[in-house]
Amino acid sequence: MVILIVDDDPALRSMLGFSLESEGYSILEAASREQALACLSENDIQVVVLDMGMPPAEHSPDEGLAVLDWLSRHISKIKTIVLTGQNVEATSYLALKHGAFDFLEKPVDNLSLLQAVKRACLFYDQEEKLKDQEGLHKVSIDVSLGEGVKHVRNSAEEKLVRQVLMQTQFNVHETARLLGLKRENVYYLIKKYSIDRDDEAFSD
Amino acid sequence: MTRLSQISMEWIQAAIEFLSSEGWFLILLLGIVLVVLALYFRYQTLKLRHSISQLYKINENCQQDALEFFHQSWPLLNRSGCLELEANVNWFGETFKISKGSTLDQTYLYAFTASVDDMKFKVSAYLSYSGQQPESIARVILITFQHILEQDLMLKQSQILISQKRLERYQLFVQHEIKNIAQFLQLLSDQVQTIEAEEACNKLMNRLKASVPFMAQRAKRTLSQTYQPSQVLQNEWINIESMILDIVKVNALAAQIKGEANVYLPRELMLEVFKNILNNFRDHGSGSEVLKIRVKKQADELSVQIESSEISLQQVPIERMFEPFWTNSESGMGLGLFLARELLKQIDGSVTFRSNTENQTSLFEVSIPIKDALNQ
Repeated sequence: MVILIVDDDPALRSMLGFSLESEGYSILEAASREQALACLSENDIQVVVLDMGMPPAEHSPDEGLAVLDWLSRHISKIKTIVLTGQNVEATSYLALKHGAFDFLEKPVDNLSLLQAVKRACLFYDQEEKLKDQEGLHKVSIDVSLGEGVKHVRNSAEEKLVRQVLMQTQFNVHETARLLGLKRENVYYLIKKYSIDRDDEAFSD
Repeated sequence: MTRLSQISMEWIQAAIEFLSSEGWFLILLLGIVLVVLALYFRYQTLKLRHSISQLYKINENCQQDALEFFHQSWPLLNRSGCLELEANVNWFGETFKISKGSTLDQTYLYAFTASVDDMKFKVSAYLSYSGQQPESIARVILITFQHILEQDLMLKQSQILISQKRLERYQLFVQHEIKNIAQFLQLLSDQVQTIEAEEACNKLMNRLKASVPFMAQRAKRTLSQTYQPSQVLQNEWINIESMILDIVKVNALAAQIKGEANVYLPRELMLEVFKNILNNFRDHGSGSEVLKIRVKKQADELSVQIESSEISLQQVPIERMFEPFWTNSESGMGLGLFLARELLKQIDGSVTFRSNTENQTSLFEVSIPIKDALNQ
């Protein structure tokens, strides 16, 4: 299992890394949102331990939320554990809204951290098994009930197409095969939801 | 002589005839009335101007404090024709009544309410009979009094909001730093308690060698925000060049220093001044810039110039650079340069900032007069 630690404090990254390495996890580190996105694009990562307040906005959750948003759009299978010292009530609400798997408040003890990571890895593994054994893909969407069923259907459709395109590295033929569609239909959906290959790979 | 007397007599007779005419008397009378009126209005205007400026002066003396202003204005209002002044006050939830003067006479009531959030003055002023005229001095002064009171309440409200924001900012900064330090110590403590194998101990030690200096720097940075330099300014010999080099090193900055100076000045104060100035380059710089620092000791002055070619510093409005709690950085407190200037004032020194748009450089200059005989 590869775990990415995103925190602007090098000393803290080092200690978190040591704790997780001691339990046999492989560790990658990022000091900012940009570094985190580059790392996520280039490596096969299963769990992210994410600090919310990073420069240039150390006292707001904006940087952490941007990473969560990117993950939710591009690699939603990755489990993110938010580890922050910011206001618990407000930040946990936002973290959940933007797709976090778990929330830990600083300072957290070693055991709680390891338990959270273990739980995230377990969920990641089981979801992968569901995909392999039963072909079940987990798609999570946020919808307002008042907007009608059509909106829900479109949101789910868009999310699924983006997810599979990202998984197949924008291979339309493979995406069509996985989704059980014709290639023309996939092209139609790409146009319908304005999905751009470059955007998918590099946007934040 | 006879001829002269005749001419004089004619003149006098003519004058008497002229004066005895009805029209002249009216013109003369009107002239006198106009002069008297002009003098009266001039006197009233001066009186009004004096009273209004006195009101502003009272407000200034009581530092725009609405309650104090209300109390201290009474003698002036009373002199201006206000016979009685009453106010039902709600001051942040506390309600009370203030009464000044008393009257049983038939008087004119001027009432108003000045209210901002949790502060409210419901005022009733009783004026003498003449005060009921809209243009009366008493009434104009009372209206001015009302406006000043309202301004004081608004000022108080904005001061409260600004203080709240400052406190929130300070709290956020300290919380963020302390929670990171606590998190580091928590993980370290857990590891130290459970780790046994020699190999793991060595790994931990290697990690600590790399990470502890960062944490120590973080702790120092947090502490420096709450640090108050000693009031006792104990002079000692300082090598300015080596002091600046130490700060440059701690902040992981790059700098070329020219010149050196040994001066007999308060070490703690000087350290704080240069830390606060150089921290700006750590927080706002690109990290790759080499600062040019020139140290110069003259007969009666120490001068230190810190030059940067960073554009980011030039984009800061100069007039706001030394304002307390003003910052364009999310991570700073906006106190560094303000503190540097305040500390330098204690030893009659100064710090200035100049920006040269032509060669795109910014320059901080610290000047300190050298008075101690040992420095000469």
